[in-house]
Amino acid sequence: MCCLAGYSKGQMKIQQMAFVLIAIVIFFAMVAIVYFSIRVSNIRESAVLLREEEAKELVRKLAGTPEFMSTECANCIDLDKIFILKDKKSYDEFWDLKYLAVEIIYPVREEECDNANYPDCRRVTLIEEDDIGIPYSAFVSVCRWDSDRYIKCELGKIYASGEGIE
Amino acid sequence: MKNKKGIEFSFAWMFSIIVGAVIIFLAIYGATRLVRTERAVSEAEVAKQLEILLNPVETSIEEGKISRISFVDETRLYNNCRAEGTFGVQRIRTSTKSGIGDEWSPPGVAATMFNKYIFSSEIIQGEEIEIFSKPFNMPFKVADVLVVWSDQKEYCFVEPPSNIEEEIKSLKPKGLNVTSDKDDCKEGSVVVCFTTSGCDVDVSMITKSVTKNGESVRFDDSFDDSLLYGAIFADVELYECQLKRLMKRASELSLAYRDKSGVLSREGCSTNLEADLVGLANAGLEIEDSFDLGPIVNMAKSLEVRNDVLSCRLF
Repeated sequence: MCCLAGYSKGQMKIQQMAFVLIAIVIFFAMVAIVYFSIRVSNIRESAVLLREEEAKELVRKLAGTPEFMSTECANCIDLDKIFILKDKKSYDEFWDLKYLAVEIIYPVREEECDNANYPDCRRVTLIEEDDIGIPYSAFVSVCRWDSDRYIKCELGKIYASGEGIE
Repeated sequence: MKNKKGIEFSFAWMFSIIVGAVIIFLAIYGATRLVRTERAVSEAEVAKQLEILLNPVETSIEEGKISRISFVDETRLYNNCRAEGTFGVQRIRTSTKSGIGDEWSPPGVAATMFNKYIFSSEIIQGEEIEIFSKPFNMPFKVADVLVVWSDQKEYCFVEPPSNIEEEIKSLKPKGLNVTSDKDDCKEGSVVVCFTTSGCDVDVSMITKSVTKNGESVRFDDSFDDSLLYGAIFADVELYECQLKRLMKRASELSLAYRDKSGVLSREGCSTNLEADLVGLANAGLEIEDSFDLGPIVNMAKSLEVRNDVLSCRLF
């Protein structure tokens, strides 16, 4: 026992126990870190899924909301109203979405709608933030008053994407 | 001879007992905190799922719709309304009954909605909730009024107007019965009287008011009877708050219709309703409580008449 000459047997045991305790604490800390990282990622994932689910449900019902609906036919949307909402800052957070747009898919046109080209345009984007993911879509009839004083309806789509987790 | 043998209580023993106790305490404390956090996460998820489920229950072209949502366990919904901001805000928090720890966990993180209007008591408790959706028009569609009650509560409508009676009989909402005599109401049910007074809820179709617990609110049924249901089922404070929020949305929609009128004018069809729409928008923002409804309703009625005769109607 040349090397342990300076220590008593009891001190050795205490040191051993201290090392075991430190090892146990480190082990549990690592288990806790792994558990919490998995749990946080699961919560994040479920939050994203819930947001997407919300966007999916919302896109189905948007045609019936007062801001979108046209009184001329069931499940038609009013392009004039949507074009007006584009510039309304008060509606920025109203739907809790990352992306919301209405597109006329037939007849085929190209540009985003603005005051200069409306109504001869393709898309009215109401909300567009970064990282929108893949938006959900639903077919709708897009109607508006024509200059010939009749309701003109065209084939369109509503796109919506849920808000991601920052 | 006296036996002097005893247990040797060395430092190693004392050390391991103290450290063991600390570890066990930390483990129990950690587990308790973990359970509490998990319950809060679960409550937040339930509230968000409920928010999502409230989208398909809204009406599109229907005049009324009944939906039912079931929970896994008995759940409390905390209905909270704030009228501040452009549209006000609807918050829903949930708390689920549990066999471990406290019977009811503290309410979780709220699901926040700007486009929902829930008319109910402040706390709804049950395993199943009934949702009666009714469109609210003023004079255009403003929103859906969602009247919510649980399977633990029953309502008994005594001698309601014929249109209400027909609607209830056709939609058959659970826990909502119609009778001609209040003695026929089930014991424990909330008795709602339309032609007599002295019931749990008294409705006057003449003064357009609903009285309960000594407090009265006003409703209007010129365009639809959504506010009548809202006034019967909601707590007074919640009703007034949701009404303010509905008026704020009506105000924003009025401004949207005013702008639409400008678009139609460019297309060669002038409506001349801009001033009336701005008037309605301002009146909607100025409402203090349900007793201020009268002038707004009159403005809305006049707007409806003028809109109906237009060749290019705004709404």
